[in-house]
Amino acid sequence: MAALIQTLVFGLLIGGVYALMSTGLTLVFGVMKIVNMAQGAFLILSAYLTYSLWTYAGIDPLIGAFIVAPVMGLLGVILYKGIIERAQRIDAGLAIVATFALALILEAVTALIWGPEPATTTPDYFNQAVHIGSIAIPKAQLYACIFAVVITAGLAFIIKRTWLGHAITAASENPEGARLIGVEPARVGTWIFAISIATTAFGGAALSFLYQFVPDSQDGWIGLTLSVVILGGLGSIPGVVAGGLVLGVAEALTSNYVSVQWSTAVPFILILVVLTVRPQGLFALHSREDVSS
Amino acid sequence: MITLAGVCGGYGGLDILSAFELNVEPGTINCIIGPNGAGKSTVLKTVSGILRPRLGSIVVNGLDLVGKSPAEIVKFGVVQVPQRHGLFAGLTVRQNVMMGAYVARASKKRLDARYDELAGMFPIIGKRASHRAGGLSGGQRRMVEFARAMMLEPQVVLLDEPTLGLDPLSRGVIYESTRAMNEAGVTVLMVEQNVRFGLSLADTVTVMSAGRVVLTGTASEIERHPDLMGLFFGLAPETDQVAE
Amino acid sequence: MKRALLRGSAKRSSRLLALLIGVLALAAYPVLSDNLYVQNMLILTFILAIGASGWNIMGGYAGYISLGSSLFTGLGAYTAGILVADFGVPPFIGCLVGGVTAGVAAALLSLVTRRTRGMYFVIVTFAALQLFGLIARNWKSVTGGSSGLAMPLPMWNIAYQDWPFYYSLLVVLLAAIAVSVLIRRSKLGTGLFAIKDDEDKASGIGINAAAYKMIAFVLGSIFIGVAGGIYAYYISFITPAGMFDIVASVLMVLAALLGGRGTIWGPVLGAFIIEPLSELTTTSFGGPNAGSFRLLFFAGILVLVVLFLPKGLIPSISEALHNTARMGALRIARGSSSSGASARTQVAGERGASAMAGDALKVSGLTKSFGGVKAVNDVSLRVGAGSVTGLIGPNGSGKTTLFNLIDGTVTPKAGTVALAGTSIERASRARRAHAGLARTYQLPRLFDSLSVIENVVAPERRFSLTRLFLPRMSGDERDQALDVLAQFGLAGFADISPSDLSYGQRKLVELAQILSLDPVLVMLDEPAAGISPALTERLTAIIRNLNGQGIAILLVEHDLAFIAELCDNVFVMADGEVVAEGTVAELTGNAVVVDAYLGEPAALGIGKVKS
Repeated sequence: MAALIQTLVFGLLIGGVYALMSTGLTLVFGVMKIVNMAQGAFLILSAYLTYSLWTYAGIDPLIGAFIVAPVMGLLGVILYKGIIERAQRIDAGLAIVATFALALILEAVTALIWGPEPATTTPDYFNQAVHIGSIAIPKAQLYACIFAVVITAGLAFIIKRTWLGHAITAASENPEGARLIGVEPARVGTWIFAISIATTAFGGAALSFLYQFVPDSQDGWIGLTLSVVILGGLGSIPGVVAGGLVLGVAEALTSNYVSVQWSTAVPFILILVVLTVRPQGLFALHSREDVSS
Repeated sequence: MITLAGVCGGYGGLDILSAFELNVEPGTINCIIGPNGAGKSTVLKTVSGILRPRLGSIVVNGLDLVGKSPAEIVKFGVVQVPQRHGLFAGLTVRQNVMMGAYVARASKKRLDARYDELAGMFPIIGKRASHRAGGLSGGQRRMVEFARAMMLEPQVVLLDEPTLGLDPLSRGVIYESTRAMNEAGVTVLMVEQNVRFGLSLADTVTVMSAGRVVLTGTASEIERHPDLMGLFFGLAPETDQVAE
Repeated sequence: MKRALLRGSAKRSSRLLALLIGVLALAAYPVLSDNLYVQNMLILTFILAIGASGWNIMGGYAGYISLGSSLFTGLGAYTAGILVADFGVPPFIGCLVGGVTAGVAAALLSLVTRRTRGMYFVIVTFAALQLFGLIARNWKSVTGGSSGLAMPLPMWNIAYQDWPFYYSLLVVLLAAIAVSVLIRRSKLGTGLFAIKDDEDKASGIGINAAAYKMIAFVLGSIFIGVAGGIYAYYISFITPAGMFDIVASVLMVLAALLGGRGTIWGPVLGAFIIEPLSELTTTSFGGPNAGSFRLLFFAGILVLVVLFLPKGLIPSISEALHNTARMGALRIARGSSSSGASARTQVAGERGASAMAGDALKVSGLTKSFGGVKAVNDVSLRVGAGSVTGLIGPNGSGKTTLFNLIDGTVTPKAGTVALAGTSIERASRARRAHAGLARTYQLPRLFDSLSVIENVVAPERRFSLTRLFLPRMSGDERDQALDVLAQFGLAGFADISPSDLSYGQRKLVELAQILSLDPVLVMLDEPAAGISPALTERLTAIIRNLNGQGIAILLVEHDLAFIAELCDNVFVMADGEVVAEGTVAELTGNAVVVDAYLGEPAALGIGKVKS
């Protein structure tokens, strides 16, 4: 019983981090209808930047994230304006191919800068734990999860309470109605990309002390973030939180009761199963128009 | 106040408006009526900047709006209330109304004061301020849309079939509210399918068919016009075709 | 006309000659030269060309992009590898079985994507590739895990070098190309292009999109699987990373996009450019960073192709060459369009002619709301067999929603729909079309990738596997379609793209198209809106003629004169409900109808009441 609770706690903590890592993906899809296949590469690049701040300046990853996030946001805007927006104008089907090509470019660039050796940051909390009764809570996971909750709450604040957030909601729900009050969906799109990639950078910072990473880990992370947003329903932000928690628990259970090796297959299996059975996601109330035929 | 001259335009190479002409006096309510597909809504879209006309000029209060972005046009004081689905279902009533000031983003205090002012005119936004807009009835939605359009004290409000899909009671409310906006100094240009409703409300009426004006006059002149009924049942005097 | 045909056949035979020379040169190369470097490069080029061509059947024809097609390379390789290593199956037999495994996997993935469209296919193929890579890595007892699986070395005489690989791959490539050609020329190809242009509309004319897509995906994947098996045997060592390789998938996409997706030779041309480039980068980028530079190089080209050459080389070049020629052809077509409008042709088949008694369409209690607003509320109406029934009502009264409910685009909350006495409210859209339900749209929807006459032949009256592999258009079908087009005054436009037609002409083509369904009932959504009086007159004659052949017609229209001329019975809708029924003469005097159009006077009385 204690082992099960331990597993669940671990799964929920990591699930919170998964939610943070996937929020950007669902936000971009919700408003722009683009599946950003470079999500994993943005995560890994952010992890490397955090890693460099840690190794060269001794900046804690959780602090370093606040330096990396604006840089990544800016990079997101440049790539959006330079490549993704154009590709989408030319052919929406090819835009997704372009984002994947971008992922490979970013992977190559990270490999050229940081080399193929596995990297990870090791702040002093990375291998400590808090004990509550017989349950051990690893500090790294705990801090990462708290961090995820704080950042996600910040993002929720921006979306719920600011002009920009309301403009994002307006443009995603009703582009023509938004134009009539002076909100240009294209301009909002640029902001969304900036915010999404910046949020992803926070996820990358958490990744940097939770996992070892190499440049080509990115395709595993695309799979993971895709499965989170598909579980929760593409485009839904509350869905991402639910999807992250479900995936975190499912992975923890698998690695505890099946094998660690097979736990990496869980996200991909979930993608295939959910899309077969319930393509609108596990938590959506209504089927989306763009899903059902 | 509003002058459209020689406006041609449409979608995907197909002209819906052909040399459309319109003149609206300041402070009046003007209603465009005409059968389906005549291009009524298209006229409003060219004024609000959603659709850029291929030819012609659209002058409001001395400024040519052709080529201006919808945001610039809103800022200039010309606001359109769309035909349907104008609200953002995920935002509250208050947030929806406040979005009417998006292009100005004035101080919170001034906007709050304006909101309270508008709540006097449209009581629903006072009573339901924190409700989700998605949960309102059709008539209530219209009121919220009207309030939103009024946020920045516009010169011109464009109404695209305001009574569409509404029950008679809500139509009455729309009638009163449109009057109230007009009395507050707003010039109204509206499109209406419900002809009797439009005629009862408007000072001047423009009847259009197949992208051009076929009749203009005061509401009472148009109401008595012998061709009116025929026009709506497709028995109009032959006009030029749109395509081929 | 004749000269154009001659020129066409001359062009075709010169193309065949070039193809023959190309194949012979490739076939002769290993015999004439013992340059193993080039031989190796050609072998890899064949593999990529097979991959790109296989990808192209789904990605190019049907428009469903896969980012995980090396999944099939891997499945083919591991199937062959396991069969050969563990069961002693002869290697080339193992490769063929590898193709079968790939086909089965594609069929299963088609079931996964059955309920989704567009980018979900990308996600599914990507996830499947990753999942199978993991399985190959983790299922050590069978696959050897990360350390891989060794294939036995070739047994043949060293003097034959790599000929068996070379020739078997060349044969597979030629087979893949042949199948691509056959699909393109078959009904299957027409359906796939229709799906790419407008899947929803394709279902509406009876095309079973799910089956088409599954067949296309399976066929393409089989070739990739066989090539994967041969590749495994060729490099004699199989690892998860080398076989289930996402970069290999991307190269297939790149080759197909660069050459021109949807064309037959584009993927092959792309492969012949990309693979030698790949060899070049392998030799010129040295050092530990070589892999990253290669990745950067190919991903960079992919971005450039998407942004600056989205159609690919072959279509872009042929467009540039034929632009002027096409303008000329168009002018000729326009010139001959006015003739032959009066020909009366029998278009209805066995079904329409046997005008059955009773109702062609019976709708009861149909209800649908959108976001709390009842768009269609408890609507019941009937269209008598062989009648022309009108449906009128002001904007937003629910007429188009009613059409969408009847044809299955939108699912009703309640109510029943019966076509000629058979209940169809639970049937798929394609099934409803097979049952004889046909409709047009306010803004005509045609397939721009197909010619006008192919659009007319595209509808499918029933689904049968054998039919899919019949030629795109038989002589009889062409003659029949030409007759219909001639009857509509469009004979001169048969072989151009519908995108070159005017709005009114497109409306007529759409009508001609749905008649190929041999419909029991035709629903026309504002057929006369926005077209000229001359065309309206022609339309009236066409509708009369169809009706004379026993086809029932439900007509939504605003032009009451048009309705009055054609309809026996008219229904009036307002605010989602049927408010009146009768002849036009009865209805124009009916206060309810006048109110529906002009608004109830009562509304104004209430309007004076303060809210």
